Amino acid sequence: MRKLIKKNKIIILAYILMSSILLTSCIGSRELQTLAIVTAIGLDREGEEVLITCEIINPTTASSLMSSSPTSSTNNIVFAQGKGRTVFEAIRDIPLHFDRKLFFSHSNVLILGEEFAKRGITEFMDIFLRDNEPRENLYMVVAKGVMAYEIMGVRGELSQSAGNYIYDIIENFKYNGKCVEMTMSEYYRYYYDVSNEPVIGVVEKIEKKVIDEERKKDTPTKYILDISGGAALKRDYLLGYFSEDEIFGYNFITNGIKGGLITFKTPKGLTKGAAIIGKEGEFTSVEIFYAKTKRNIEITEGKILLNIDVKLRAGLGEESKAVDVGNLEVIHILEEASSKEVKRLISATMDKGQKQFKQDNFSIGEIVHQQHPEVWKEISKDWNSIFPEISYKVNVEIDIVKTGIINVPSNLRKRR
Amino acid sequence: MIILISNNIDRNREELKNIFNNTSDLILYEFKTQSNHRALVGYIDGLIDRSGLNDNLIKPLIENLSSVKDVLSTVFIAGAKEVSKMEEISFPMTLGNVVLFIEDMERAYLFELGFWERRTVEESGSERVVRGPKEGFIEDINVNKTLLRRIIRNNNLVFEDYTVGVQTNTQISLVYIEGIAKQEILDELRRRIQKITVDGILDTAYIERYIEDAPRTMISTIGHTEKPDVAVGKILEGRIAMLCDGTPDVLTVPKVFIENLQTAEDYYSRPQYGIFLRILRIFALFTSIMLPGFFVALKTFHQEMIPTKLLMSMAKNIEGVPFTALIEALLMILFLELIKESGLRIPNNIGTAVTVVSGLVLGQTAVQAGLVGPIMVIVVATAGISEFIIPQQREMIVIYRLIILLLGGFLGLYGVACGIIVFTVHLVSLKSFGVPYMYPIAPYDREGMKDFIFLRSIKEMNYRPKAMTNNKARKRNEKVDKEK
Repeated sequence: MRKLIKKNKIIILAYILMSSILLTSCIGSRELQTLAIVTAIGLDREGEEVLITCEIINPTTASSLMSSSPTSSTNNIVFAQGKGRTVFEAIRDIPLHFDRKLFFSHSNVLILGEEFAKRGITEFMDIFLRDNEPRENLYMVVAKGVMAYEIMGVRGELSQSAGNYIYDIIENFKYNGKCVEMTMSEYYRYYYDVSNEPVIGVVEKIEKKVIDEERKKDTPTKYILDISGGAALKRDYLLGYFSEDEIFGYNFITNGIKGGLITFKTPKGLTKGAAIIGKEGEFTSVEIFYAKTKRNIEITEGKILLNIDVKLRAGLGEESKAVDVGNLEVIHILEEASSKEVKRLISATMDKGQKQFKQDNFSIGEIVHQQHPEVWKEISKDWNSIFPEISYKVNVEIDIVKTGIINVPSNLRKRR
Repeated sequence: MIILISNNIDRNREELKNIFNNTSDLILYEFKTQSNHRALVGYIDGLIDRSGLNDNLIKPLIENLSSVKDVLSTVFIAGAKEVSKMEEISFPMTLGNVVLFIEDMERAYLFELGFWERRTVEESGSERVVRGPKEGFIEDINVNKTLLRRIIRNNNLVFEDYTVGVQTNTQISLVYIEGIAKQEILDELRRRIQKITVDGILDTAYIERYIEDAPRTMISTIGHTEKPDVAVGKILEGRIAMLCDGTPDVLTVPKVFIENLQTAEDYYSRPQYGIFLRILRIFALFTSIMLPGFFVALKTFHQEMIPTKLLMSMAKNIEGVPFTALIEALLMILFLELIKESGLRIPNNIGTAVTVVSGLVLGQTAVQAGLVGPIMVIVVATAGISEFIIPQQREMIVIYRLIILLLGGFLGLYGVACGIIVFTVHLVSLKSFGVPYMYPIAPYDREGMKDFIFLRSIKEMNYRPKAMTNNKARKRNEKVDKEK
């Protein structure tokens, strides 16, 4: 081998250089001035045709560095729409009436109109995988109840465009855990799996009161976007929605929690030693620092039992009335109460999946496959009819490790 | 044809005049000694110490010389030489010797009375430090030798003189410590120096051109410094320094890559700070070579790699710019080089005008006029500033920056990557006097790594770099130990 290399050094070198020159894909330069940077894509169906809406950064407005006029933000973005029988045709329809070539690499959000989602999305997703421009990590969201382009007109208070706006609020996921953070590549991971039905994000347009008195005169109402909840798909068409709380439970089941709040009723009548002055309707919030879910399948006599073990580390975030957190017993009671709440959230979601949607949105089939491959071989074909029948057990372990920087709530310290 | 010195003073005078082609700065002075012999003193104006000549040579001869044979015992001058041929006189005279002819003697005396105006030893302009010795070499080789000798007070410090240059007869001198410098390197250096044929040496750079390993590369494989402490540091590691009369730049060989990133102050400050500085310099090296090319590649080929928000503001900023990114970058680099060059050449008293105008051209107006985007200004300015952090390789950086820029502009990141690969291969293939240029990474040497990026304290550097010397133990004087 060494001899061969020595002999044909030049040939090998030339081969390596040539192949790398010929096989490389970075050809064709595009100047930045000729590009229309797309920040969000919306897909809708109009009859049998696809309607694509692109949100494009308008570079002709003064830059954010130099602008002093407040109006500059209003024409920061422009929209372009195109129609066609395929998405690509729709995209190529745009340059016929738009000045520049679209550049998709910076679109972080793909918004699907509700009708589009109901009629099945996968047939139109091909180009987003096939083409080299679109990112694979763009967030997929369904526009709840409306067309995609209706959502796209809404821009946040601070973000420059709807694309940024949706992207930013999805990135806020770690603060609440009440939405779905589903990127396209992950969607396909779920989609390819036989047992799974994907859940993707939802975006809803809601009206917001204008608080600013100055602005009230010009715009009496303003729309904002809300991304709580999730859209359950069956194969690739929209089946229904998970609500805010249900998606919280969903994230617990699928080990997707990165943070969030568990709010529950402060347990009444704590044990004798633990001082509490609780009334009906008092609430406690516990903030999650760390969450881990382990799921196990037990099969006994042909019956499938799903064990969901949730491990949480949390801190006491807020206490609306008064508990004495200096007392360890009180903490234990709070832990128990919060774990009960998590159990409730999980079972509510499981119930909806089993009874209403009657399909496995939680990739439980995958666990069966991993842990009991021989059983899975037999049942995989009619998993969706088996799934609603399986029983499950939820086990929540929660550790409240922090109680904040005060010991005793102010209303307990106040001397009567 | 050999001309012997005659016993006739008038003939000697004519001969001397003839040798020096009647040059106006040849001074000849005739007087009578005590013993009533005619004597002729000849010297070159401006090269000798006149009061020394008067007091120590002429005065004793006039007052005390009784016999012509007693000349050497009469005068008060240490360095004296007797010669009998005319050829032997002319070169020493250009070094500041005084020639003395005496009637009836077929010999002449040469006295070392050299003294001339020289720059005082002052802080080196190109290598300034906050802490540590400030003095720098000057143009006079003898003073430079003294500066080195004053730091290394050791009988093993050797100066080895050569005369190079057919017309200029420039003195150069190798400096090394016997027993530390590697014999092979020394022999190789001597061999290369003896092969120099040139009419004149104006700077050590001339010598560099003749003795370097790879004359065609842009990367310098011979170090140079203006500071005696730096030169001594290198001599102590087994390198050989080369002094040259007429220039304050001292060469050191062999040179390895990391020497470009070393300064004297690294060793005078705490090692942690030294590490920080080394990393900073590596960063600066990469920035100054790669940044414009990399940026242009991103901007024209790989817009998807730029963070979205940056791309948005970039798109807005360059909306009015009519040029492609490559032209934009070339334009900025042209501005930068123009300003650098004019700043270097301009007389001090009108320098401010250039500063103001260039600051405006580079900073704001170019952007406002829509010639370039503001980020391009930042990119090129950063590359320009970084260049000055590695003064030893400035020439290379400017050229390689352009190469990488063109590669990036035409081929994208692929071109930049190719450029980096070729550059790296080239670096690794270089050698300086038998020492691999990328030592101590390739070949790897654990001891050498102590003076690489992750600098250790001087206390822990117990060994000299393996590639430079055979005498590795740093803190032991083997010669002295043996004698004991």
